Amino acid sequence: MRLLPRLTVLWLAVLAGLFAALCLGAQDYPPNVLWAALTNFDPTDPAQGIIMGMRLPRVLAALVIGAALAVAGVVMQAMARNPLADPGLTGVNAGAALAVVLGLFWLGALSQIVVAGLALAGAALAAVLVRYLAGGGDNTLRLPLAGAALSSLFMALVALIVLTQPEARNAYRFWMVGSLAMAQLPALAVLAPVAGLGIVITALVARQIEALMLGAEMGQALGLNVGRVMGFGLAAVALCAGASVAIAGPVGFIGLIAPHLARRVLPQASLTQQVALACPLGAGLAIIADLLGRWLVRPSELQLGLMLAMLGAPVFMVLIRRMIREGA
Amino acid sequence: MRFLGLLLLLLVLAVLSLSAGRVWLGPIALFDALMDPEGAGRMIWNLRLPRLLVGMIAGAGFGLAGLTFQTLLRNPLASPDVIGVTQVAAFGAVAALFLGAPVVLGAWAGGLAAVAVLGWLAAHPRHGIETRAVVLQGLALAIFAAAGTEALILRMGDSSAGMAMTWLSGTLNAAGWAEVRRGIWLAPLLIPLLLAGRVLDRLELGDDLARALGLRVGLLRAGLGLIAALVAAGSVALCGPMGFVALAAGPVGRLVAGGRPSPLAAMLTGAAFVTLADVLARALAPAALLPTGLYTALIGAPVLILTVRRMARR
Repeated sequence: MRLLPRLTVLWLAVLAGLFAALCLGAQDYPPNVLWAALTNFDPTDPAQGIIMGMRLPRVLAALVIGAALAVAGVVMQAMARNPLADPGLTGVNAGAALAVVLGLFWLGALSQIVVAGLALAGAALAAVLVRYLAGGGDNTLRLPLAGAALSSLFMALVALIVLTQPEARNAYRFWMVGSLAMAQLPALAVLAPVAGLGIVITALVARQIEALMLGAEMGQALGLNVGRVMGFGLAAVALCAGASVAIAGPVGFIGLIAPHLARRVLPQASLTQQVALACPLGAGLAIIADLLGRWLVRPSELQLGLMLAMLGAPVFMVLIRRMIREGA
Repeated sequence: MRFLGLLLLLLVLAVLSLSAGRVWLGPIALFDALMDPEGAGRMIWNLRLPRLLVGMIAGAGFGLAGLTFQTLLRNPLASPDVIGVTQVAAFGAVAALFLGAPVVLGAWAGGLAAVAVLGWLAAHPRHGIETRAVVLQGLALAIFAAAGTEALILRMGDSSAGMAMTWLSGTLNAAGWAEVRRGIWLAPLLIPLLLAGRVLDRLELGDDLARALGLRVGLLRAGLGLIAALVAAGSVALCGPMGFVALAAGPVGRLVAGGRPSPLAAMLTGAAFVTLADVLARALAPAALLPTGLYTALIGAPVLILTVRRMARR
């Protein structure tokens, strides 16, 4: 069992990050204020109000979307046999955002369930579309390109729809650049289980996906139904990415970085182990990025999507540079 | 013959662009207005004409730069707006705005920096520049620069932030005669790219063959690449990073020129593309004044999708 000690350490680190993120921000509070807020909440104390009312929903939302996006990244990278797959880079997040914005445009205000449903449908459609566009074979380079094309198309449509609504600039920003500033506990209570379902499905089908990726004959020899396994994989990606977009808007790069970190933490990890490791890694990444975004430019803040793009894009570039040097 | 057709199309689009807007003008009214710059034609002369000219200059620059990059890197996807040159130029422009320096200088510095970074990132110890890698590295560079620009905008006050948001998708809303004059200063940079048709033709044959034909490949590639970066960045300084113009102008211009990399065709295509998008922007939602770049993206993204799809088939 090389996995368990690593998982324990990672989750402890996430817990530490969580407490840090609750204490730090526009105003820094000492741990005893946090402790008082958690054990003996006093709504009249402004410091405790900020911690419980504003920071707690954010941090929990970061935890959920970080884990969900990381798992979606693991599944996409395995299914596309492509180490550069990520729900943000492949246009899946943008598809979900477009579906939600279309829904808001035609139907007006929506309940969280409907938003989640739209995001799921958009994510699933975009995932299928980008896979079709990228084609089979070695699509290492084509998949991100097709994804970039799709996301710019989707994002232009989102901008078109929302810019025609005069009072909608805030909504526009939210659906263009992912942010946790609007995270709220009631919405999270609905959406977190959706993301959780995606993670559970992934954990259940990870072994089958891995077997399938060894080759279709091998999979059939093991008695797998190819279509069903792929369908479950797609559903897992849609659930994870869709729920994340519904919570925080389109956020990229967690799904790219967390799986790579997971393979670093435990080399030769099986897909199931990667899923398990990716959860705390993605959650930690999201919490730290959100904290940095709030802390670096306080009292204002940088959206999570921007922070992750600035942290993640260099990682992406270095990954490719290494791939070039190893490949030839 | 084909060039004539392209020129005619550009002319038709230009006339449409002058007549389109909140107030539509018929051909006769338009002619009358053009003849009367002080009276009835004031709106045309002060608003629509400079807007048209800035769009055409910027489009011409994007088209030329697009074809040059695509041919130098032998990859239809390697246009400055996909590989991040225009995004980094936009970052430079906004940074210059932030510091109170001339916007063009910031954009130029950004464009050159992008080329340098990409060259370093995609360099292979033995094979020189990996052109397929350049595209991917550039994709990430574009995302990085766009995020950096937004972060910078957030640091500005709220009023300028709104303007910068529109500008970042590429807009002609602020175009006036001052911008036209600045655009004309770019013309000397366009000339070497326009004259490079034969060189591009030969570079396409491959480095060895081009060398055998007497070209100094390394020098030409570096020189043309830097000039193209300056041209693309100059266009960005005029109207923002208008997406997909450079990407689409190259292949479309090539189609017009019968498969050859023709700078003239790419330039005209770029100008026509921006003009078309601007006509659409004002015809579809005259009151909202949406950024022209949204429409270039809507038309251009399918071109990118088709190109990737064709690569997948091969």
